Amino acid sequence: MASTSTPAADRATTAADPSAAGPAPTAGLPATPVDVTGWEVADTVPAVAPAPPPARPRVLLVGTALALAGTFMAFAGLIGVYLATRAATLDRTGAWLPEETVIPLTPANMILVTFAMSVVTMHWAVWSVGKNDRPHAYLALGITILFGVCVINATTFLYSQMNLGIRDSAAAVLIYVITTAHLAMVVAALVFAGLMTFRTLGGQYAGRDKEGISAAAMCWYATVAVYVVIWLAIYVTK
Amino acid sequence: MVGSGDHKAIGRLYIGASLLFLLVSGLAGQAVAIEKFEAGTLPEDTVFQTFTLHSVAGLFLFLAPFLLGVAMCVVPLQVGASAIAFPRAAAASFWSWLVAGGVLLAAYAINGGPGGGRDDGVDLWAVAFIAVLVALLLGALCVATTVLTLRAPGLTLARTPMFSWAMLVTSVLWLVSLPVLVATLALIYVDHRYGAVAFGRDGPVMYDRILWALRQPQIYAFAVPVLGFAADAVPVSARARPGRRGAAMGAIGAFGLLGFGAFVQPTVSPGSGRTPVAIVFALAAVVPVLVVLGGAATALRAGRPRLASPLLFSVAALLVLLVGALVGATAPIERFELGTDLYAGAHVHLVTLAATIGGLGGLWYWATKIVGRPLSEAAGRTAALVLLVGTFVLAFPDVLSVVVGDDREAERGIDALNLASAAGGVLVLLGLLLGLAGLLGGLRRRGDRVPDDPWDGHTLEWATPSPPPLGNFADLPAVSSATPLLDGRDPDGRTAGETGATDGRDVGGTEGTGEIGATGETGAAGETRAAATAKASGSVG
Repeated sequence: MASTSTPAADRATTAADPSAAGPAPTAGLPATPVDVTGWEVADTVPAVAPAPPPARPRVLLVGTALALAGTFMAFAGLIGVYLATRAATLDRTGAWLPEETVIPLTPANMILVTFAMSVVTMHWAVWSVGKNDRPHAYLALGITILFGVCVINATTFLYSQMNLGIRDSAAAVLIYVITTAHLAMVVAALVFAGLMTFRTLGGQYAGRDKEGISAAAMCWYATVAVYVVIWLAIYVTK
Repeated sequence: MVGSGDHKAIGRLYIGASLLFLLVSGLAGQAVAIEKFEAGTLPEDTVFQTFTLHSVAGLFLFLAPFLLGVAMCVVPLQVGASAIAFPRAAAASFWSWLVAGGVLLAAYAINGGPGGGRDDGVDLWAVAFIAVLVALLLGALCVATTVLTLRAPGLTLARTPMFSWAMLVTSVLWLVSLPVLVATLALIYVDHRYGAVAFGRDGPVMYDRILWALRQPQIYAFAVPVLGFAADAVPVSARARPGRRGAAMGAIGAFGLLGFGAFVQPTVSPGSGRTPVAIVFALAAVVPVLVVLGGAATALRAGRPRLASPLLFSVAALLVLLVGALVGATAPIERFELGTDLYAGAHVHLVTLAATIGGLGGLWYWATKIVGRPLSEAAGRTAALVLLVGTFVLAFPDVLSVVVGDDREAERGIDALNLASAAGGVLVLLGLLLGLAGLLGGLRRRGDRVPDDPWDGHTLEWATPSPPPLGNFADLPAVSSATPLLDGRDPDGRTAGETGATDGRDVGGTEGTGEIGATGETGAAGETRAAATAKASGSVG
């Protein structure tokens, strides 16, 4: 196709080449400085403020948001099935969980608190990257990843305490599928956060461009939000 | 091509592989049709498996990936992007879908699938089905992100070409509904593997839990691209300006909303397929189809239509979809007593075949961009007509059996009509084979100069050479209207349909021979294609 230029490109050209924009305004400005060679150094200084760069498409952020929408729907489906099956079973038999099963609330609460702290550290990481404060960004991301590992550890501990075999009942199948799917989401969010940490370490994300770390943070917040629903629907309501 | 991240290569791979899977689904469908006519033809323990193979493979190994393949080829071109968003994810989507699809068929082959006699095979089926869905969702995510973030400067969402808009709606709809199917399959897998106490007990129970994804209203999620394709191709074929874009975009969006079917999942809301909400959804689904069909009729009346294959495919797809929506609208109304599997099957056939006809139409319309050369017009026209007739002959006998038959006939069909339906199935297969032959014939055609814009198109994909190079556009195009190429040729809006005054050829087009696009000759108005394109590209014009 024929050569074309975008308005943004036109603006950029104008900014780099002041002559293209006509004579620069001079009223109220000091006389053009002259360097030792006699050349007017004003040629190298734009007469107008540089145009902002073209708006960068937030591909990663939008893609992550779409993927999270799908993930939310998967959990909505699972929790919908859980609640519907629980209600139907309670109507039919009066009991949902097998008698010997105990779902302790303490580890679940600990997971919730750990997640809550990780939200703060993840936001700290985003904020630090925005400020170009790399040491704090690495520290915050490292702590977030540590919290994620703690969540996995606490969940496996919870499994060991529940005394619930997967073959026991529909409740067992549902509880294990939902919580394991959430564990998978935690692992995926950790990998994503780790990847973005390395990219930040490599200098890809910093200052004004914090798309990658923002996407990882959004993924983490979604993971926490899903856990809150699971905590309420499974661990509290039982 | 293998390992490529180029969206056109990935799209072509999707199209080619899905057409191969179509043969499997088509043959299984014919086997089911023969069994319906002559009970006992298939071994008793394989009837249910063959039926589910036909449904699952037809939808998730053929139709969805086929539409996704066309979209992967066309959407980045239409929105003026140099590549698809997340190209490596798009490539991963194809290869994982292909492998998972092969495993899904292998699961059936080892006596798996719903109702299968081998437990490992059933488990393998569930896992492979999950992988197929995840792969398709990854592809849909790439397409949706492309439309949302990689549009050319000036190409606002309101100016987005109709097919791209429809694919955005489709992709988002898949992304918010099919994960529920993934979740259900995960439950089926775990339950069947470890205990079979609730969700994975036996084949029919298992299949009932996923049936919502293959029935109304979810089935419309696979037909949304038809509306977009028709809204793009009909005005171009009619040589008219597209009118009432807002209405068409709204209709496509509404059709997508009405195609959200996750809420009728039987475990969560048993019997919800017959609730007032479901009835309203079913009735309302007719309206968007009528709106797009009305827009197409207006364009045809205002312009000077050329009877080319894209027009025939578009009209055929819209007609079949309209009939399908009408059949679907009557199904949930209990007073009519039409809620049998046979009636639902006829509805599904109408909607999915409308999507198939539309998809094939897209293949013909964008052939120079997708396969790099034009396809045979004769094969295209014949395939469109055979598919139109075949679809009606396939579905109407089933509808008639339910309407006039007794209880048994409403379930199994009237014998004579079952025979007619089987004949319709043969016609559909014939039409598809014709389409396949036309595609292969086009691929074998060598040495011709390929026109850049054989139809005098309106949108950006026609501003690229055919086949489009890597990166698609030499320069980033900037647009200032929804029909940039048409505006480049016809800046005063004199094209038929706006004033009814002129012939598209007078302002730089051809009769669809593509000579101008191929040779760079000047048009009748003395304007080269390059100049028209430059003008179309906004900032220069």
